[in-house]
Amino acid sequence: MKNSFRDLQIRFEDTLIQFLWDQWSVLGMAGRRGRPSPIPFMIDPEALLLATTRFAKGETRFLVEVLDWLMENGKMMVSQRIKNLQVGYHYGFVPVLLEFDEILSEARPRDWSSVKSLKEGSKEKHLVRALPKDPELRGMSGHPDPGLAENTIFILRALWGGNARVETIAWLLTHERGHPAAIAREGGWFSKSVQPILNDLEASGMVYADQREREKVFRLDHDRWLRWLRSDREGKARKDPVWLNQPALYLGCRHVAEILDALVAREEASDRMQAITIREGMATPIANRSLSMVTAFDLAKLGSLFQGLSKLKGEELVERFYDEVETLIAVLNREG
Amino acid sequence: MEEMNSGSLQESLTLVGEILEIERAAPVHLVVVGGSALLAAGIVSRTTEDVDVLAERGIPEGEIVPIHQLSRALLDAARRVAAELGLPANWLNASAALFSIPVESYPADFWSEMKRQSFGSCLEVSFLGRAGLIYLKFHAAIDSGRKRRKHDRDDLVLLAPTKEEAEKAIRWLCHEELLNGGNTSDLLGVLTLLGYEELLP
Repeated sequence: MKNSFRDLQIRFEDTLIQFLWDQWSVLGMAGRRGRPSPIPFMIDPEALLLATTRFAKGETRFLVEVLDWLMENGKMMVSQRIKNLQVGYHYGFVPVLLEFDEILSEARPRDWSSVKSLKEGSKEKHLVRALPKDPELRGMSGHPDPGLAENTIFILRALWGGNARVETIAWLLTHERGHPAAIAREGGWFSKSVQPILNDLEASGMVYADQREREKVFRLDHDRWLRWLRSDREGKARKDPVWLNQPALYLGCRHVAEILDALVAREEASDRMQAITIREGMATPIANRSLSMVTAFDLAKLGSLFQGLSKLKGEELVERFYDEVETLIAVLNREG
Repeated sequence: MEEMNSGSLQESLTLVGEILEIERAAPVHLVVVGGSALLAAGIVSRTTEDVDVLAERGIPEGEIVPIHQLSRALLDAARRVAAELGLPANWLNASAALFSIPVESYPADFWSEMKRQSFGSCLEVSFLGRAGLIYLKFHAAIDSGRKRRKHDRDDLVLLAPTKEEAEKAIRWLCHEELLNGGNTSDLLGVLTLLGYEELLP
């Protein structure tokens, strides 16, 4: 294998941080020079926060800007959803999340007790603090721009508050129809929260239910709903929202990051040994009952990534893995 | 499932050694018999499906002790190598030791001519040499319970023991009471194959 995994790891980590930073910028976070590249999906703020705790844990300046944004907009975040996503996808880095919680504890106007409870189940430790104890905040963060389709979740939260109704409608807006369990799973809520909401929404006459054999599936009239979402108050056209299962994407990225860590730690290993490291990293769940890497990317609509690699051996597997990470970097850079 | 030739035998053990090193496992020195020892000695060129571990040797030059179960670290490394190289799950096993007579029953020259090879800093293998293989193959070739007796006889022909070596092996079989009425005719068959019928006790 002629290419360096160390170099690939650096590029992957830098791209991922840029990808997160761009999203925070769209949400109104300060500190970025120039306009961020467009984000082709509606931003999932809780998924983004968890990803930031994992992939930017060594980026103090970035974390302080996120903290600044949370001071201003934290009331729009839903702590129950942070917990649900962490328990379901296991990609957030709980020690850094708890550092945010500790600093925000006095200032924030919402209860983050769900986040605190994550401490119980977390085995990960951070040897050094990611955030200074008393960070100097610039107070430069703005609010999510309601004129951007990327901020649809915030537009809906501004209307209905931080609850499962928002992700349920956001999901229905971007899918033809769906079963409550699937909507709940993708939306980061429990079925028992989503089912009664769908029943209520059906009663509004704006959401329809179709009986399919023994199950009920829900849908809405996209044109009717999107009519008011397509233009902002100044009448400017807003793009239609696009759904992306971001927790699944970040879980896949965590798998890749951990495989790269192991490969870099064994940079002198033979191709066969590197192939073993890759195959095992791809197959081993991050936590009990969490998704495999290929399944995670599949749920994030990147199903062709890393597909079929487990059948390859030795140098062929190592080279294909390298190429697939390059493709992932291009996806995160939103190239093509 | 793949079988191992001389090249893949080396590759698989090298990979086991690499894994043990990466996992910082305790160094181990294995004594290997069977088809892989024949391959290592260059006596046969056929493939073998497993690596039979008979014993473990103290490090650096310690006593040879029978091994009835491979360590967890070795089994784990072997499992990972099997997945990568497409080998049978139990390609590295200690079943030879289970069916062997006690290691102290072998004569002193049994352990001579072993071919010693390092596979990194954590794995050393001593492949049983020609002398030891002749004893083992004589024993196996008269064991009516073995399914692979045809192979054992063929191997013995390839090992081409001298008359003195055959005589020593038969003396040892008698001394260990491994010869009995039931397998004398098997021994005669083997000796006929080797052209040493007159050695039948």
